[in-house]
Amino acid sequence: MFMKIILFVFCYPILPIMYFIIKNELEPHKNIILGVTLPSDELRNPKVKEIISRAKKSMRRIAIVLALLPFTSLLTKYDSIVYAIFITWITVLCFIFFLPFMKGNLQLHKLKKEQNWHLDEEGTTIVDLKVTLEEPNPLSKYWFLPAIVLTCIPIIIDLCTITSKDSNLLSLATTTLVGLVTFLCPFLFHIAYKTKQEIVSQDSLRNQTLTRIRRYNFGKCFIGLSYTNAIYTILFWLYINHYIDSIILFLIITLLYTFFLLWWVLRAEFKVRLAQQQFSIQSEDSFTADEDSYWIYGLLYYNPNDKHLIVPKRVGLGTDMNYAKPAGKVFGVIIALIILAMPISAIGLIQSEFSPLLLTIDEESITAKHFHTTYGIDFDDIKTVETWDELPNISKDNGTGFSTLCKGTYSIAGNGSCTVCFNPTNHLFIVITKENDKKYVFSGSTDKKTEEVYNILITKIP
Amino acid sequence: MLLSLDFSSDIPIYQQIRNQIIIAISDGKLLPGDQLPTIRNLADQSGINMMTVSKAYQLLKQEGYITADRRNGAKVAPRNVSSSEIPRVLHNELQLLISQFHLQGVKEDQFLSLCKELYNKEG
Repeated sequence: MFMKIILFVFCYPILPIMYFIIKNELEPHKNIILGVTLPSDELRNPKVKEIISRAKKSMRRIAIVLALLPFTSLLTKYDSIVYAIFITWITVLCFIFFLPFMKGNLQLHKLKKEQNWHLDEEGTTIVDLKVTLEEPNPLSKYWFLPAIVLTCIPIIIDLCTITSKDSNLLSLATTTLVGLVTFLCPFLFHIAYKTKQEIVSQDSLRNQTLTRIRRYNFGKCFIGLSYTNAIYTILFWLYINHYIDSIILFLIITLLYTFFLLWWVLRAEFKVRLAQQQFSIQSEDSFTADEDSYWIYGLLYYNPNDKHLIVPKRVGLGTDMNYAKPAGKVFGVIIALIILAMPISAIGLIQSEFSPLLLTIDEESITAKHFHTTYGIDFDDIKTVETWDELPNISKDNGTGFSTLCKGTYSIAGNGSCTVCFNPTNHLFIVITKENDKKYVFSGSTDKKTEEVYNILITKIP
Repeated sequence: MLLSLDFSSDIPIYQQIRNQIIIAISDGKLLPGDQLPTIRNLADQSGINMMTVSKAYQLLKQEGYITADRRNGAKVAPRNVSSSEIPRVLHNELQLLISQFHLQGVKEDQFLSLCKELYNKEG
């Protein structure tokens, strides 16, 4: 039940966020609608409005179906199936709203061709010389320094206290991974100031101002992201090293972190959008470069003549890659693989949950086996053996945790860190302490099986 | 002043940059002494190679439309309006253009009328 709540709280908001971001693209901005550049006076054309209306209806229908799907997870008690439902749902969410968008894009392109709505600057790259004269660097990079220092503190502590213990290495690896986002921000900040200019008019002052607004707001966005991530890195480190014990608190912190990440990006994007709208409306000589030929379905940028690797997105928030460049192609493949790996990981998880828990004993050792994991202890290494009929409080350090399986390294109240492989719904557990004082907690699939093995085990131990 | 670069055109990009800067100087959009962007900035902003921009600037400098040095960067050169001599290069380009119009079947008076119209636009 706990897992279901977590998945609902963390995953469900993705649906309205994706829906509203894509729906927002059905409104014109800078003469671009559904990823197609149209002359200003054709944006309200009834045929254009009809295409947009159909796309909106289609999106609404999809949203309703997708809103109901996660509730099917309430019908099952198996964590892996709940996870599979959500992960498949998220995978579908990644692309499904783009389908009506792509259909609308094709229809609008066809209409544009039929009506001969071609703009003068079709298929060209426009550069404003006056805007290019300005050195694009109003915000100082030194703003990132405190965030970088904050992020380095837990990593340095881990490096100074490093031992061969798994938990130390895990803390260092995961904290560094989380902290990477902070280190990425100055790089993205630098990229933000090298992105294309905002050209909306023949008037260079308008273009200059709009370009400055975009660069400044995204510069601030990356500074904000770096501080948010720095604070989260420290809190994450505190949790992974058990200074924060409550998983609920940690999940709330993670939720807030995600919220603030989104807030920084949305804030920047909508400030820029508002400025674009205002400047386009005010301009008597409004101007829009038609780069439709470089955007596949209005979504993916493919321009082999443009050496920019990162460009402002046409649809959605933030930036996109130039998929004509080798790095862009590699990035695209990696993203596609990650998206495909998500539902495949669910298959692995289902296999894991439905694999039997085996506790066996032979002449020399006791073995607990589940799926691909085997824990074996030779009798000669055993110091003491006892049983528990009730499990103390446990929390996972690393490993697997289903409602019917705990496997891996767990912290058990009064016993420290233990290697476990048991069914937590059982009422009988074998606790083995080795000569090196390392503790193992095992059980069979049922109490009966556990008792059988225990009875044999105590005859084998001197 | 907007530069419009058409990558599908047969005209090389450096030539397009050169042509449009000359037209802008003639139109008065760029005045003598006006600063031009650095090669790096223009290449970064337009997404084209620095060598392409450099070639365009070199050509403009050779033809006397701009001045360029390390300290001051590239600037629009002062105009030498007193000279009545027609440069050989322009003479040859005009000859080629006239040949092309002739082959298209355009009559002399039509051609001259067009020349007058375009020349008056330059101001």
